[in-house]
Amino acid sequence: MRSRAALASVLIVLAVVPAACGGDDSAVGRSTELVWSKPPRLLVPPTLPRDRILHGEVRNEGLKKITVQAGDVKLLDADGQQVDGLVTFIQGYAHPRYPYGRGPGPGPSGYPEEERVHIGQVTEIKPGATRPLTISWHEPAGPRTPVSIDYGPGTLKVPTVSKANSAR
Amino acid sequence: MPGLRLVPHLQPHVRGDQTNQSGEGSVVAFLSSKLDFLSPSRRTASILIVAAIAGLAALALPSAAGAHSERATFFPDINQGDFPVYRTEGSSIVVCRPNSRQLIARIRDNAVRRENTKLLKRCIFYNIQRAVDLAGNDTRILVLPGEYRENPSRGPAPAGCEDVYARTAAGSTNLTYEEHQRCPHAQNLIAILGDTNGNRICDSKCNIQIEGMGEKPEDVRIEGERTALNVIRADRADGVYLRNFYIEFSDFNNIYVLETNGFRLDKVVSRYSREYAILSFASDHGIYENCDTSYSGDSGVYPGSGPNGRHGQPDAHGHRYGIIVRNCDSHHNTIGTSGTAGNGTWFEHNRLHDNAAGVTVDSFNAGHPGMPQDNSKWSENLIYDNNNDLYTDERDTYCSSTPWAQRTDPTVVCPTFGVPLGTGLLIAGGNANVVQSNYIFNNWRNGTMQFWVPAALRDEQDPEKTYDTSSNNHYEANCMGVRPAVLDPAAVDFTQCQGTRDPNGTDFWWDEEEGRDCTEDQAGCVDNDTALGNCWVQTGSTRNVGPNGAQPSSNPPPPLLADCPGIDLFRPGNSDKQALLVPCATWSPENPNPPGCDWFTPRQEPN
Repeated sequence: MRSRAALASVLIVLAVVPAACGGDDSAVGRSTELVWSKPPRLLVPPTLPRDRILHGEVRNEGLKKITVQAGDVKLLDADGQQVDGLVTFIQGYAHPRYPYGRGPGPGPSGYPEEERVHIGQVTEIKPGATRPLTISWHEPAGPRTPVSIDYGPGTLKVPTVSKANSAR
Repeated sequence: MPGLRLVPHLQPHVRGDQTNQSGEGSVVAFLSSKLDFLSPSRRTASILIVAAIAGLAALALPSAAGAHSERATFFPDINQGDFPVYRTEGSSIVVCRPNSRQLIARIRDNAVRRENTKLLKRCIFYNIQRAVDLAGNDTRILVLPGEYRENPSRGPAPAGCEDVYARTAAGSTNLTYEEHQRCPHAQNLIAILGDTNGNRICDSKCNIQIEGMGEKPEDVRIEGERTALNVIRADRADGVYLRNFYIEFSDFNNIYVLETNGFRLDKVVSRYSREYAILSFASDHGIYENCDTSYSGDSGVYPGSGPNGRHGQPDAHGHRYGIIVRNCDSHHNTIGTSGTAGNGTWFEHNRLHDNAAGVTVDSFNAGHPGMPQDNSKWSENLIYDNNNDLYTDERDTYCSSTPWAQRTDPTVVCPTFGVPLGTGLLIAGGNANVVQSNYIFNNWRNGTMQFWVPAALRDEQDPEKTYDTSSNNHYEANCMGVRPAVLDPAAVDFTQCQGTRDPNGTDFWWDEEEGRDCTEDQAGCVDNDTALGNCWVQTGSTRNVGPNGAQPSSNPPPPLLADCPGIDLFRPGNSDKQALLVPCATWSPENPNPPGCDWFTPRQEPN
């Protein structure tokens, strides 16, 4: 479940980052309707040195509304194996409406659509609109580093980000 | 037929009581059996009085409103009502248990024992709800030592309540007020419902005082037994006063006060709730005092949707704060005290310790009147040792695999939400709060933490209000990272910062967002403040102080951490810091360590 979510986020990032940031030729030249509205940032949490958080804002430059389900995105390593990760479409920390074990669920995967939007597990982006996007993952050791994103219709390479920022 | 549903509860029967299974019958028969220790003349007089009261109460009860719309809550009028005052005189009903006599005999204090012995002769009910049913306005319900399981309030749905009970069984906690009137025990063991005509103002069973008469709170025990959502519900029950008892094991709230103008909880020990030990919501003129709340899956004390009308200004009575929490000890919960839209509340002289987080207020969700959170105050509290790790792998496995009803050790708390473990006080999207003259120490992550919460998260779609939270909060004269010699707020000199060094991870953590000063009830962002910003006093006699008089630690450091009065210029904050918070939103026991989130990993104890 978590891996699907992470992969979903990765998909968005890969699709967007190369096109919008312009500095990474690792992405396949696949057209996409989502672009980063400004370059995303990759963070290394100070207490979690093996984790990564990629965050920024994406804009729909297409002509149609796009709905992205976090759980539909797959982050893949060089062998095509899925790498766990997490994608959210919210700007800050959100507190779920449902306490754990009560109401729909258990956990966010069982929430209704409205609540999944609330906690950033799904987003709808109208043409020209922007949405925050945060992707986090545990950086795997060695060759299991994510290299591509499977977003369903196609596959994109994960852009290489040479410099990570150490957040406070 | 909601009005008729009330009638059975007015019949002074004891039904379904474990200790009195054969107690079905008339009030006279019941009273005769229970008052046989009285002389015949006194017994007859007592029975007649009770029967008369019951009859008058029945006549006085109007029919309930029959609306079935979803419950929406509204604040009481801040200029009406007041804080209840403890009463020792006036009409009263005495409640006891079959073994109360033996328990009274064990009371050590002679005066208390004599008083209880005297009251025992007036006992007419074995269940508190029976007394509530009988009570009129201003009635005191005197509860003698014993264990109150309120068995008549349990059991299958009465006729006409099948749908309400079925929805409750399916997980709904949201009934209309009218449904509670019609089926008061679908979700509540003891229901005090004060509004009979649907105008949201108490007109019946107002100023009810329920008091345990024992020597200490534990002498009167009210047991939820993990079945009822709420053990006591006071709903539109203006003036309710609950005092001197022990209460435990609710599925939702041990004590739930809703839409009530005037309430007071004094000397209540509340433990082992699945979620909240004591919760008030959309209520005003309330006092929590001398409480001990612990081992709750959410919070020990929750004044949520606190009084919102004042916005820091006194009401007609001169009360700047509509709810006061004082002299309480809240510990070993997920959160010591919390409040979504926890407005207008003053916390003073409390001990908030050994929780996963000591204090939170927030603006996270819709459905809470009074957003965004504002104008609360914490002064002269001890906020410490909030490093209780409820997020271990073992705990996650246990909580996700063990239903509430099957959890055998009540001290093993299952958190219902994720919080930044090791935090003393968290203001998440709050405005114009005051944190003043507290001792805040040994919280291994942060002594205090403050960050922005986007308005969209509370379903506020006005883009002008996106950044309308986390503004004008004021921190002054706090003693950070210093443990006083005694942990008794009554014995601590809060004008000094004295004790042994016991640091927080970081004293003040801020995401550096300076919210826009939007007037809450106006469209767009109408900014009437041009002077105040978030600020931490760093100079002068009211500065915040660390060990040995040092400056407290902070992230960011000064001058980014603004001295008072702050810098009243909107700033969106440090997006990297804010990004660190986002993955934590997906926590659950099934997803216990979201990538990128370190809230649920205990910090090392600071050196």
